[in-house]
Amino acid sequence: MRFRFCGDLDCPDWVLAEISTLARISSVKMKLLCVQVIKDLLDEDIDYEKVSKLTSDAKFESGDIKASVAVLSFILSSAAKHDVDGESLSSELQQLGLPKEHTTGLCKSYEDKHAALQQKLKESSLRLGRLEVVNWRVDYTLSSSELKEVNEPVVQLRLQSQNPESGSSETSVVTVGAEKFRVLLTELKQAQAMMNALQ
Amino acid sequence: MEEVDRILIHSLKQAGTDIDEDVQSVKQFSSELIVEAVVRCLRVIDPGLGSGLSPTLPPGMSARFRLGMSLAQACQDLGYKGEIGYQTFLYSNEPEIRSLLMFLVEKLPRESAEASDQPAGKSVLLQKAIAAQIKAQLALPWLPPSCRLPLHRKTQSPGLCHSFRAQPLSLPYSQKASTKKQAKEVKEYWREHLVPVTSQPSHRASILASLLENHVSELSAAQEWENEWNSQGLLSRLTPEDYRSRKRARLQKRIEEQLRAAAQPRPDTHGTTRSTSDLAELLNSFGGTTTGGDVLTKGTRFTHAEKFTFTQEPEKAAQQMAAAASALPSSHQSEEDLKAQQEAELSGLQQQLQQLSVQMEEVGGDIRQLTVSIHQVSDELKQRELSNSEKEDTVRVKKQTIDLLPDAENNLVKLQSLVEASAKRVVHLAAQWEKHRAPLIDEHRRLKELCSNREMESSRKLSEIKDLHDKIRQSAEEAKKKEGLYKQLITEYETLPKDVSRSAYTMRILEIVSNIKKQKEEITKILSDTKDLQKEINGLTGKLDRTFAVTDELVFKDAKKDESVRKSYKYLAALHENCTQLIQTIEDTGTIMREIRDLEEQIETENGKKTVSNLEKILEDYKAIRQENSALAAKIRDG
Amino acid sequence: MIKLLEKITPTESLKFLHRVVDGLCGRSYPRRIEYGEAWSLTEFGELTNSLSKFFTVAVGRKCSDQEVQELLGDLDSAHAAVVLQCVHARQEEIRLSLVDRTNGISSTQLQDFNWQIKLALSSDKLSSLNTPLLNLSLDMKENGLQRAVNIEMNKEELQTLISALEAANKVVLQLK
Repeated sequence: MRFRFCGDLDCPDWVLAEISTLARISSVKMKLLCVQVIKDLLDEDIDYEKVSKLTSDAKFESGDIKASVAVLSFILSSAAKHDVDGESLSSELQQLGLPKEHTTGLCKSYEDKHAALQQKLKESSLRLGRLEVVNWRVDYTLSSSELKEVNEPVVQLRLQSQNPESGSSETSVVTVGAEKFRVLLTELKQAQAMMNALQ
Repeated sequence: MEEVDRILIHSLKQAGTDIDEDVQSVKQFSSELIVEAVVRCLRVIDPGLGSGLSPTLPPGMSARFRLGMSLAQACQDLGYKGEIGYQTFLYSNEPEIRSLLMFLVEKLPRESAEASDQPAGKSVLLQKAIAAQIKAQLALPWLPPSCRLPLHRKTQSPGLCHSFRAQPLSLPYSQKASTKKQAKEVKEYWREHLVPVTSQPSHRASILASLLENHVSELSAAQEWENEWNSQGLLSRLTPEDYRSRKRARLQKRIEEQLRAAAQPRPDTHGTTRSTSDLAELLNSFGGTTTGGDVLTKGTRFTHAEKFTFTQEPEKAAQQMAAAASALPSSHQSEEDLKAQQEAELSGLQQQLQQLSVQMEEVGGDIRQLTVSIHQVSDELKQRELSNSEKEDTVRVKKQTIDLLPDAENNLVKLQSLVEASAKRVVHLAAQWEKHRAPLIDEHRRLKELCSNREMESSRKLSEIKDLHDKIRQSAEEAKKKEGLYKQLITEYETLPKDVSRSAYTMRILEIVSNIKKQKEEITKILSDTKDLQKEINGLTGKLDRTFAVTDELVFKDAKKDESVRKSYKYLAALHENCTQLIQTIEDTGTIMREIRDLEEQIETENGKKTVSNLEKILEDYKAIRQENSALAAKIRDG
Repeated sequence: MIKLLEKITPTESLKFLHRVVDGLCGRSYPRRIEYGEAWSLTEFGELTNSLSKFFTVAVGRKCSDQEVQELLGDLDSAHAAVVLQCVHARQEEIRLSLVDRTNGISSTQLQDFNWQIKLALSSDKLSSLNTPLLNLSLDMKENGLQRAVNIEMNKEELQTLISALEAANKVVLQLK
């Protein structure tokens, strides 16, 4: 069997196993659990007390709680990754043995947060460096030891960027002559136009 | 007809009509289908016209009737010439429907198909291209680097990579140089000594980079200048050079002021006095470009300070040198001693410095006070001088009157005449002034008007120029867009499978044309045959008539003489009559046959019109309407 | 030292002077092998050095013709005229290179930059990413050492960068 939410691959065995664990709690409780897991995926804080309260009815052990959270986060993030719509996810989960009420609850909360999840995944995709802050200052050179009358503007740029290797931000200050600066700006504008044309 | 129907059905499907697979010809169209097809076509042809019509037949009979009427009206609005009415849709007959649908399909806009694939498909195209490229690269076998051909190098290894390093180039007639008027020496340099651009950079790899950067730099400079000129320069009504120089002057003035403002407040410590003296020098170099005269009063202080430090500097340097020299031999002394000595010296010097600066300040305060008092004194002096000269004037007038007193009468008369003369002169002058003034004022007015006219004209032209600029930009953009579209369409066209159906259609059309030609030939042949036959028949009847007349005459002549011949004449006449009767009958049969055929055809066409079923339908519809009407009437009565 | 120039003819020396100015403007200096007969190694070095210094001073101080003559000292008149001609011809170029050097009086300068647009198709987090990314590589010279800074930007970051640069450019335009 191949499942779309697994990226057209077979479903991992552990997911299959834990789906039966999920079936043990009521569908309403599972929906609330889903909300908590989605919160976790979106980097809002998951409330573990609430999770344990939700699962207390079904007499879950801590291992079961962990397993159910894990399986839910796998299903949700994997479905968002492969851009599966709620309907197909529902039918595929039913094929895997999750009761119908459970799947509708799960898919409802998934569809609500589908866009947000994808946005989150997009943001957390691998990036080699980011630009964080740009500061600038324009100086007007009047005179120098080399040249008596310079009268040319110079741009000082301060770029704070994220280092792709360490992940820490590093700052570089650089002096750019007026000519070079203009060329840089023109080229960047061209690049932007190309980028906009790509989408 | 089958061919036509297939084309019609295909086009209708494209227009959005839902036609079942098993409907193969127009004959099978039901009323519902006809209405739907017509409405869909109308919607595509003219959305305003078709949007008010529903594509499904309503259940109510009167509503159906109304829909039919409005559809007929819409078709007539579009220019349909044939007979059309509600009956066309509700009680259809095949040929009418076919001609109506053909008319509508011809009216369908052709561009709609092209408009749907505007550049929107660009990203899809790109995705496809990426997919194809990746597939192609995956299909290539891996080769060890040494075996790679240039073709593989492109995809399998980055090859030799040169980073983009630009170097300044020296180019004749470049923008950077063009601002200055080209002197003879410059031209000679370009002609004689300029190295070709390909050998200017130190690395071969940076030729391209340098050229590109040079180009971008000049291009962007030109663009920026054009922008600025269009937005501000044009409005200032100056020539480009004037505009540039004025801007430069403004900038210089601004910087000068700011520097002055920054340099003024604290000439206290030694370090800053040094820097301010440098600044002062700079300022003076600025001032030199304008005028030396308008340097502010504070400026004089700076020049003093400047002189002071400048004369001091060499001395100071000499002192330092001497100190260093004296320090050299004594370097073997213990460091502590040296330090102590230095500190003592330092503190001594500092004290001295402080004293000196205090003194300086004091003296500065004194000077300020003194200058203020000098100002005051000079003001007073001026006032005194003014009052003095006034008094002198009054004294002179009084002296003259005293001189005139002895001969009072005479002098009075003289004075009066003088006064009169001057009055006359004043009047005269006033008249003259008036005379001069009027034309001058007119002139002034005229010139003013001219001036304002010119101004209006120039502003008009300015706005025109601006418009033109905008237009140029717009057109350029449009052209670019169109070009892009053209290119895309070309590629699309090239990727499209060459239209097979088109050639098939033309083949078929040619076949049909040849068929028609053949038929035409046959028809003409038959026509000529019938004509020949007619001729023959005519000839035969003529011959018959003539022979009959001759025989009749001959027999009639003999009949008077012979009894048996008279009998034969009688037989002849009877024979002739019978024969003509026979011919008549044959002709009659022919016409009747033809009539029968005509009637049969008519029956056929009438049958095609489904009159009976239509009549039945009409009857039913009529009943339905009556029912509706009675129901409505009942409702009204109830209500 | 400039007197050494008298060892070659004025026409040859004009060519030589132009090559020296080329060197001053960031291209290649003349090679000694071509002038091996005229000067020894030390002489050649001294001559090119003093000539470059002379050009910097002559253009940097905006010297008049007379002052240039004074700077040249006791060089014979034919050679002096050639030197003057060279100064006139290359004044603007030398000025530009001096402006460059002035800009170089800072700890870090931008030497060159490269950019590259990539379309990120897919990632481990999202199967269809389709995000265009711009890789900007700035080649800087920091205290004489080459250093590269690589920044990967998406559309929004590029927009912030460009708007910052635009604002700076507005100011630069006012100063021109």
